[in-house]
Amino acid sequence: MVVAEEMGAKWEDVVIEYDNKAPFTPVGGGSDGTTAASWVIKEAAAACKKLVLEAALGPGGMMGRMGPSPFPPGTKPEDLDTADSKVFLKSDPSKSIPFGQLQNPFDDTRQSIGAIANGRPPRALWTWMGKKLDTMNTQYIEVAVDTETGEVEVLRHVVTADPGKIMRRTSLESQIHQVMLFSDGAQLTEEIVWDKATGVRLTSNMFDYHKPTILDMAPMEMDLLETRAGNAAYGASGISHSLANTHIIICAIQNAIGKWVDPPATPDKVLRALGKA
Amino acid sequence: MKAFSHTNAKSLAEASTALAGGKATIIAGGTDLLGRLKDNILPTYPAVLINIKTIPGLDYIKEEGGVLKIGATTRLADIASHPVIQKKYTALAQAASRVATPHVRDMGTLGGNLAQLHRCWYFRKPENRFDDCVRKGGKTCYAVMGDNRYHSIFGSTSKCMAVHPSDTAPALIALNATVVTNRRKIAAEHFWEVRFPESTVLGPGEIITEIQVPAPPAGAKSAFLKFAIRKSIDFPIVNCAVMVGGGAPRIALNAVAPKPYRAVKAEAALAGQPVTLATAEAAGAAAVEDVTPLKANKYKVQIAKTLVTRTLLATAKA
Repeated sequence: MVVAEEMGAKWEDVVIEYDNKAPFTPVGGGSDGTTAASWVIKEAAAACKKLVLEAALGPGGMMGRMGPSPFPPGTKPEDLDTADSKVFLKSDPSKSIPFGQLQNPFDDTRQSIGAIANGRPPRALWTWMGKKLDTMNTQYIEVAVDTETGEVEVLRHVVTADPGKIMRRTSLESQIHQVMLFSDGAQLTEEIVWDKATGVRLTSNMFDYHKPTILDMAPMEMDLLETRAGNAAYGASGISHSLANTHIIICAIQNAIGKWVDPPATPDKVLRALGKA
Repeated sequence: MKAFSHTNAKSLAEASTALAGGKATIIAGGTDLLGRLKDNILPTYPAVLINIKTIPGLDYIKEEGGVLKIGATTRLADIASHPVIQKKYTALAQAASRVATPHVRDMGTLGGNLAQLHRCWYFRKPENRFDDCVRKGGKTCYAVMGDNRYHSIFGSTSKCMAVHPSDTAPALIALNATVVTNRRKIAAEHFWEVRFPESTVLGPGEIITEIQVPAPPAGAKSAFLKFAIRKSIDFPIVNCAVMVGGGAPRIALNAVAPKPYRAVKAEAALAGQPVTLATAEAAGAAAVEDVTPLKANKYKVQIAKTLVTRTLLATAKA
């Protein structure tokens, strides 16, 4: 997405090739892909765009086997721009050439044009201003505890998050959803049970191991801020799993019934805490 | 999963004959059976699965002569959504709608929901790991000394503490239903038994063909509630069905004992009285008078008591 944005390329023309021999290949998620890779990708893509603009003019105004450049003599790289995987003349966008017809400006035997970038990203805005970016997400939970059955129901999830810059909203929201699902499961239902006499695990399947289902999830309310204070591309800082929480529901239960219940707060534990079991 | 052959039965007689040989098992929806086979939980394995969905005339819902008749292979989803069942036999529709998930209800049949084996994580542990289990012909109930948070609160039957998990069973008991087989008629409350490993009184070659539910008395209302860890998928921690009004109350629970449990003391506590908060709470307390909970399942007593009270109160909304 960053490459398409920087190079004026169509989204579908950007292909990612993973090195299957690398011990770790960052993915495009909000956890670390945004923060670890997007800045250097943006720098490399910007450098590549400069080469693309030069290539569009061709050595001596000629586009190798493709014939003369469509642009008027004397056109300079700064007179050009890119969009939809084409180089076009700013003053007359009807004059354009697709990326696929470009020739390497330094080697007319090769059609590929590439650039690399390395370095350190700039410091995050808040660090640069002498402050620490120590709060990027806040989370609020409202629960209802049935004191007769021990059932705990999460009524509301509210998340206020600052990912710096939202790159792809559905990816961002799904990352928050899945973290909430993990958190709900850890605090309310999920438990690996072992038979103490034999050491054999009793939770052998997804009936006995209670992963929450979508019916068990409360509606998610999200308020997303874009401060552009991060040090990744466009000020992004990622969303990460920092919303994963092992005890916020437990704290809400304590506020509701005045008793502490260790997670997972299953009905037996809640009723025991209430003196009813 | 081990290899087995699969036969599409064309008649009850054909299925019964094949079943009586002892090496075959009935399959309808397969939602319980295939899990059992895949997990290889039993010491023996069927050589043949006899598909009874191919037998004509076992999938229907109809009212005849004041009796609701449901074919054994009728899918749970069809029962849950049937307008007559929802209105007149409310507890049954509500129970069918709470079985597992939409996918399971689209596959699972009423007969299968009644005949499914009990739930116990020692009995169901894959590869027959706890092989001395009493329900497998052994001498040990591992739940007695082990983790028994989901087991019986009304003691054992034939030394087994596992519970029966059917959601439709208490609804049929509350509605005074009858299970019809290819050989006899059995009152629903007497249909379940603790055997090895079966959970019903069905004999060799005996197949459920129909469930008959008499029309509730005038003025009667029924309701079903289920308490489970999750809102979908799960088997009950406790479930409860009641029918009140127009006669003596009928109250049944499941997942609290090795067999579906008719709460006769709760029925007696409520008899002759209207359902109010006070009478419903008294019935709830009476329902758990005879409990003998295990170390880890005392909480189920509180839930059972609450569920009886709430299910009775729910009849006001039915």
